[in-house]
Parts: sequence; C-alpha cells; structure tokens
Amino acid sequence: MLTKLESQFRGTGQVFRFTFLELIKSRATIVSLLIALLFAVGALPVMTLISGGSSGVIQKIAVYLDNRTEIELPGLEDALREAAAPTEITLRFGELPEDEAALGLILDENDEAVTLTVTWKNADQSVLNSVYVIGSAAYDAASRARMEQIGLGEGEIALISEGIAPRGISYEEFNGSAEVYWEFSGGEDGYDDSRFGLQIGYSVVLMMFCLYSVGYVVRAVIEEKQSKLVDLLMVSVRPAALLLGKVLATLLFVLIYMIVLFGGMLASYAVSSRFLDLSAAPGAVTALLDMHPDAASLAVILVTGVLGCLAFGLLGGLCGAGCSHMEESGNAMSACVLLVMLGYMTSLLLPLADGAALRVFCVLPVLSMFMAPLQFMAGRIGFGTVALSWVLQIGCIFFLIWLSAQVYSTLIMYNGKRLGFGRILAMAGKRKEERR
Amino acid sequence: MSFQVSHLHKKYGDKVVLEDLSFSMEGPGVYALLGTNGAGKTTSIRMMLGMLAKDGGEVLWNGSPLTADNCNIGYLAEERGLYPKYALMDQLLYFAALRGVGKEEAKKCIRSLAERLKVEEYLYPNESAALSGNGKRSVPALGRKREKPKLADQLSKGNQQKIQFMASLLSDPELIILDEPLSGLDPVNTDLIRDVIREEIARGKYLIMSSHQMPTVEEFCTEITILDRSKTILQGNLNEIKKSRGRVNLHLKCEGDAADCIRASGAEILSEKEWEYQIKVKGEAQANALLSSLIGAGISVVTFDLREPSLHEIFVEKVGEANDADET
Repeated sequence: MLTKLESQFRGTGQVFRFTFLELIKSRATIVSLLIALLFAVGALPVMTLISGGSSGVIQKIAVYLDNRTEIELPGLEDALREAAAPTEITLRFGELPEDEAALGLILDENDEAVTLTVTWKNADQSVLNSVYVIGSAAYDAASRARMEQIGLGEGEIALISEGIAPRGISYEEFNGSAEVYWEFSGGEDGYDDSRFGLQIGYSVVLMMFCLYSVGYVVRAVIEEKQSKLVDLLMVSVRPAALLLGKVLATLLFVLIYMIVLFGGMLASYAVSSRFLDLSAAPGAVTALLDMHPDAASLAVILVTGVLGCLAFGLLGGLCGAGCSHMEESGNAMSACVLLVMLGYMTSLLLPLADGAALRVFCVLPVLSMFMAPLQFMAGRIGFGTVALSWVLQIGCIFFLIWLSAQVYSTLIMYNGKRLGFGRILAMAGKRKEERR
Repeated sequence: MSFQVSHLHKKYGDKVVLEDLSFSMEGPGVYALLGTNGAGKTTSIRMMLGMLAKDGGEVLWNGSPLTADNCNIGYLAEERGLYPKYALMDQLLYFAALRGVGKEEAKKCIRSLAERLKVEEYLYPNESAALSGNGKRSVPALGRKREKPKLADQLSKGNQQKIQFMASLLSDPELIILDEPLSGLDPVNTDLIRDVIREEIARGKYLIMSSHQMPTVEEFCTEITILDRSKTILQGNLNEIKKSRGRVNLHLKCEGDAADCIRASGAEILSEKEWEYQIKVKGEAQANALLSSLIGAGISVVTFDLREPSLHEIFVEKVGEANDADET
C-alpha cells in the first residue's frame, strides 16, 4: 500500500522544485510582484490622504471648552492629548471663534442631566475624523470629574466605571453544560467595528491568496497541456504527482508573494503612523495591520489558509486540465471564483450568527477558511471546532487527490471543448465503475 | 530481457480503436509499429506506457507489467513540445531529474548528446560565443555581455525536435520508444538523428519505432507490425515478409525503347522515363525471359535489377487489400 502510494507521488519534489524556480525566475512574475509591492507600500498613505487624513507634519487641532456647569475638569487636556495622539491638541476656553477651524466642547447642565455637546466650525475632514475620539475622551473626563465632585473615592469610581458585564446565553450554557459562544463584557457589544474591519481585511487577503493560487495553477496546467509535453512527462511521473507538485509550488510562491506584500504594507504602516493620522485610513486595513495575533491564532490562520488554498489549487488544476487553450482559463477558474466569493460574502455576513449555527458555518469547507480563524481569535469558537474544520478540509483535499488520480491523465491528454467540473466528476464515476 | 505486448485492446464508447495487438521482442533490436494515419499506433504506445487505460491485454517487461519503476524508458512522443518560455538547459535537467538522473550525470549526458546532434550553440550560448578562431573554447573577455539562456520558442522546429530527442535519451534508457522520430526534419538533421539511433542499436537497446518513412524503417527494423483501422494486417520478420513475396520488382534501364519487349513478355510497366522502366514481373523466370528477349532484340541493357518488393510497396498493397476486404 505504502509502496503504491510512494509510486503515485514519486517525482512530486522535482515537479515542485522546477515549477517554483521557473515561477520566481519569470520576468513577468518579478515585474508584477514589484508593481504589487509598490501598491502595497503606497496604498495606506494614499488612502489615508484621500480619506482626509493629515499629511506631512503632525496635525494640530484646537479644542474650545465652553463649560457652563460647576464641574471642574483639571485632567481634560491630558485626556484629550492621550486619546488623540499623534494629533496635537490645544485646549482653549470659551466659545468657538468665527474664523478658526476648531472643535468645541459645550458642557451644560439642566434639571435632569449634564450634557456634553461636541461641535465644530470651519472644520476640514481631518478635524471631523477626530470628533468621536475627542468626544469620547471628554465624556470620560467629565464623568470622572462629576463623580469626584460628589465626593466619590478612587475605589468607588473604579467600581462604577467597570460597570456590570451583561451577557445573553442559553440556560444550558449558564449551567456549564454547554460552551459559551458569545459574551458581552465591559459594556462592549462584542462585535465592534474594528473586529468587523479585521474580518473584511482577513477575508480580502485570503480571497486574494486563493484567487492568485487558482490563477497560477490553472495557467500552469494549460501551458503544460498546450506545450504538448504531457506525454514526455507522464513516462516519468504519475499524473497526481504532476498536479500536486505544481499546486504546492504555486502555493509556496503565492505565500511568499503575499508575505512580501503584507510585509510592505506593515512597513508602510509603521512609517506612515509616525507622520500621518491613520484614524482616517480604512478600518479594514488598519485593523488587519494592527492585528497582533498570538502564536496559537497565527498557527490556526496559517494552517486553515494553507489547507483551503491547497484544496482550491487542486480544484483549479482539475478545471484547468479540462481546457485545451489558454483562452479558456477564465472559464476554468469560474467554479473556483464562485466558491471563493461565496466564502468571502459569508464571512462578512455570518459572523453575526450565534451558537450552533456559527459553529456549523465555521466547520463547513470553503466557509471555514474564511470564518474559523477569526472566530477562534475572538474566542467565539473553541479549538475543537477549528480542528473539525481542518479534518473536513483534509477530507476535501484527499477527495480531490483521488479525483486527480482517476481523471487527470485522461484530462491532460484531452483536446476539445472545455470540460466543466460536473463532467469531470461524471468521468471519475465512470472510471470507478469500469474498474469494478 | 524481453518485451511482450499481448492482446492489447482499447475502445472509446462503441468504437474500437485498437484490436488485439500482440507482439514481442526477445532480445535487443528495433521493432517497427507501422500503420495508416489513425490506425492506433500512438494509442497503442500510450497504452504500453500506462498513460491510457487498457480495455484488455497486458504489456510485460521481463515478465512483469511494464512501469517506469521496473524499466528505464525513453520516449519521444508524436505530440512533441517544450515549455516555450523556459531555458532549454533547465528543461533538460528537469526531464533528467524526473527520470532519477543526478544533475552532474545529466549535464555530461546533455553535453555528449548536444555535440552529437549539433545543438551546443543553443544549450551553451556563452561557450559558442567564446569560441575562438581555431575552434577552441576561450574564457569570455571581461566586460563581454553574457548571452541569455536560449528559450524553446527561439529555436526552429527542427532544432526543437532535436532537443526533444535528447530528452528521450537522457536517462540512458533500456527501452526506447520513438514515435515518428524523423518527421519534419531536413536531410542533414535526419542523418544526425539516424546516427544516434544507430549508436543506440549498437549499444544493445530495445527500440520500438513508429514511422511513415519506410526507408528508415527498412534500414533499422527487423520485425514489423502494420496496423490499419485498429487491426493488425501484417506482422513478422521484415526479411521473411519480403522473401515470401519473391523478387518481383524489376528496375530496367536500356539504351533504346524496350516497351514492346516488356509488354510482349507479359510483365507490367509501372513507370517509364527515357528508356528507364519500373516493372512488375511474376517471378524470376519471367524476368530472365525478358532479359533474353531484350538481348535478342539487340537492345543494350544498362541496368537490370530484380529485387524484392520494398516495405513501402508491401505497406500500400496490404492496406489496399484490407480496404478491399472491408468494402466487400
């Protein structure tokens, strides 16, 4: 059995090495990588500037406090500076002047409550981008000052500030007889904008990874077919090894490609954050670059991504082998593109699901690679669910390898109208029956 | 060592594309697999090599099913190609690596074959550029621009074919299968490849050759199988097949018009050009009678060559017979 398996995959290493070396030696690849790197490095500062972020020197914002209450706010300026950094905040007192771009804080009091109003005049986009941050910091400082004013000590203020952590779970979860899938803490809603941004960023990167892999594999398979080398190669190497070597080489190449691009973006982020106010940058990008996953989460992201892309690569190889001309590569990729888009869209819509439904989505092949890693990072699913998703992904990969062994040799010698994935499956079924 | 093909059978749907092909080679030599276009030659070769599933029959090497694991096979496919945008040397080293040949050994083999097939300038462009006037290699001068490795699509079709032929011999194979090795080559390149084939035969290799160039087959092959529309229509030792048909082809050249004498002898003139005739006779007796009548008529005979039918003639005759049989 082992000898037979070894014989099936003999030569995979040579195919892998040759395909990988030719990919990285290709001038077209180097040029496309440089262009992509240029985009990756330039994207964040350009997007920040387009979105109204400050450029060049550090942004300065004047904040005018119009305090119409008895509450004293001694720590407000420090709180605003800390919250808005690297933007420099200058706190002045009084009403907003007519001719200055500035933010105003109006602290007022009536019989029912103390109100804090954030307002602005002549403000450009960069000033507007700071409204939320400065308003929140001012609210926290005013709340604290008010509590101090009525004589509460540090311990009492801390107790009130921490608040009560609400959570909504089933009675079984409460009893401890089921895993808790969703928990609110500290008044957060648990699925905030930054996490949604992270999900978008991760899904986009994974989608690129999958589509790049599929594209390279499909083109490599059709190129080999068109070059009429198949007969020569198949004397030395089995079809499954021919496909697997090509897919693995492509995956490694695309992984390096993505690491270079992501490295470029990270470097750009590190440099840009010194000179630009990145609060105006798209949330998905900053959330992704500011992710800081721990080792376990990183391992889950890598393993899930690589397994998913391996499956997509094999699927792409089979679809590519059903084509006879490079012009058909777009059609050959369509099944893979549809699946990738399904995973991408699902990852944006379904994380709001809860409990068993979320767990099912996180183990389903295709969906799992987009959803499971971030849900694991957020603590919404356990490692058991991730492991189950891997088992199913590995099952899919073995199925695709079996399918390749059944039909790949016939497909790569086939010349004619493009065979869709459905016909390839039917062909494999027929071969199995014939062998019986 | 022995190579044996037994009852090989293949059909696509209801259409039979190869019917009960059997032959064997008990020792080194060259076996010819001939046939009309679409007769099933390439299909049978692909089945022998395990690329196509067999519907019946077996292919044995030393009594065991033939695989790349138990036999070192070299194959020049009818559908030939190279990666168009990859360097030639990289491709050849890759093909060698797939056959389990080490890099250094492969380089030596490539060098030797490149010299024999005269393709060094494509595989070693810098050495070719550095060849001095007396033909010796010299170290490239400092500052001289290095030549880029040649890509397959920069070569002519004939030179690509020579590179592909090299690829089939890189592992020093025991069994060499050549599907139309000389098609599309000019006479000079044909001779180069013929020389290498001759060397491989002399080294005791097992060769299976499919070709439409009958003179080449006659030169190299001892045993033949002719296929027509999936069926074996003739098989056996080439010399014996020829002998069995007798010496019936007469090439006659005279110094005068001999047409009347030839017709009078009952022989059939196949072609005629300036008193030079290709004649079909019924046997040696009829040929001798014709010669006597020519001498008797005072016609000087320059050439009188009575020989067995050529493979080309046997092929055409057998395919014609098979077609006639099918029509009736």
